[in-house]
Amino acid sequence: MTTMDSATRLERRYRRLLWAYPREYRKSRADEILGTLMEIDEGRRWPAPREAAALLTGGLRTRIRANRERPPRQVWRDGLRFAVLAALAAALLQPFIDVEVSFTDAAPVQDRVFAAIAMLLTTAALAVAARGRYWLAIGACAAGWAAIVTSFQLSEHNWGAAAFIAVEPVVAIVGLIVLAIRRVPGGRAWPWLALLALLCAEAIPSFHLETRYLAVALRTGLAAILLLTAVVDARLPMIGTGLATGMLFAQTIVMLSTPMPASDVVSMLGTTAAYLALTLVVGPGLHAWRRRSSTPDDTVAA
Amino acid sequence: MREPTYFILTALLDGPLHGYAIISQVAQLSSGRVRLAAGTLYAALDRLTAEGMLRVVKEEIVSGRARRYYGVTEPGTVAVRAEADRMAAAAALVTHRRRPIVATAVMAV
Repeated sequence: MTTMDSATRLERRYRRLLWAYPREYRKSRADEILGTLMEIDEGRRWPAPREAAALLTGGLRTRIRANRERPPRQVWRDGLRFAVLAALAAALLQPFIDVEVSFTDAAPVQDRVFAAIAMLLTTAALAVAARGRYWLAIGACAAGWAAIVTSFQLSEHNWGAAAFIAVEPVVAIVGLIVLAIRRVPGGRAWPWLALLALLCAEAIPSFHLETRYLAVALRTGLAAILLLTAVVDARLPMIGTGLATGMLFAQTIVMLSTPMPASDVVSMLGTTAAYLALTLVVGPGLHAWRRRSSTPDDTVAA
Repeated sequence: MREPTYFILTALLDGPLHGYAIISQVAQLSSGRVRLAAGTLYAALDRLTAEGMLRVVKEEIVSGRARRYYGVTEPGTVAVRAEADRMAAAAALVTHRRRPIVATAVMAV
């Protein structure tokens, strides 16, 4: 291996570590920091552990500072976008579960085809919505919704179940219309597709009654992690708000279509409402409190 | 003022330097005791620039990458001098003692 090769390898590895820093910071500073690192570690192939550790802690501190300096308006605006995209990802779970059920039940071919079409359309909707093309996303989401409803009409399922499957895209569409009207800028698509993959993995245990508790535990774990991220980024807990809203609507429809004991209804609605309140208080609430309590002394110290 | 901050400001008293040169200068001034990692250095440079103690004085492109030179400002020199005075006063408590130092003997029980 030539020296040139090892230098570019080291540079690539350091560039990956620089992801610890916020994107706006990386745009203006990554090249300069990288130049210094390459001078320090000339001839190495792997980043030095102490340099790697310093980059990770430095990146985290920069993120915390950027979070504090972010205006509350932006926290709410981006938080709304995160919540709507999470609700859309939750909505996409329904056709995914539908496909799984269709394949295991030896259902008619048309069911599988319609469920697959709905899945493709709604995944595309999530990808374009994340990029900020909300009207296109609304179109794709509506087409996916139509595919599900058509499949249910053709296969003579009961209407309660059809409404249950089809209500979440409607929630997502309402949110997307708000984003489109407010002209909220878009961002990257891959974190949202990753969230979707995570939710699909989380939904697999819920196909079988005996592993349903595992699905609940996974969802609770995800929620807890999102709440903890409030320290680094106040906008992230809002993803939980979107997931909870999606679940709330689905649960309401289930309750309307199937008789349930009152205690179950109360605990279901109570848990979701508590979670909604928690994400709003912990995210934007903590942010507002920290902005108010942070004085110039904070930065002068050290 | 923390030690790395003190050494960074001191390293720049002779004139503006870029990132790697600051690290080398700090290591030399502290006889190799303070070895700044790049992540630590840039966190300190950002903070000191925001506080007005440092300023970017020159920017050039070296092998396709931006290289910035940092220089100490008037408030920066005042702050580092005040810190030096404080440390000198603290050191004088020991170095300028008139009375002999009473060391307690360590006894094995």
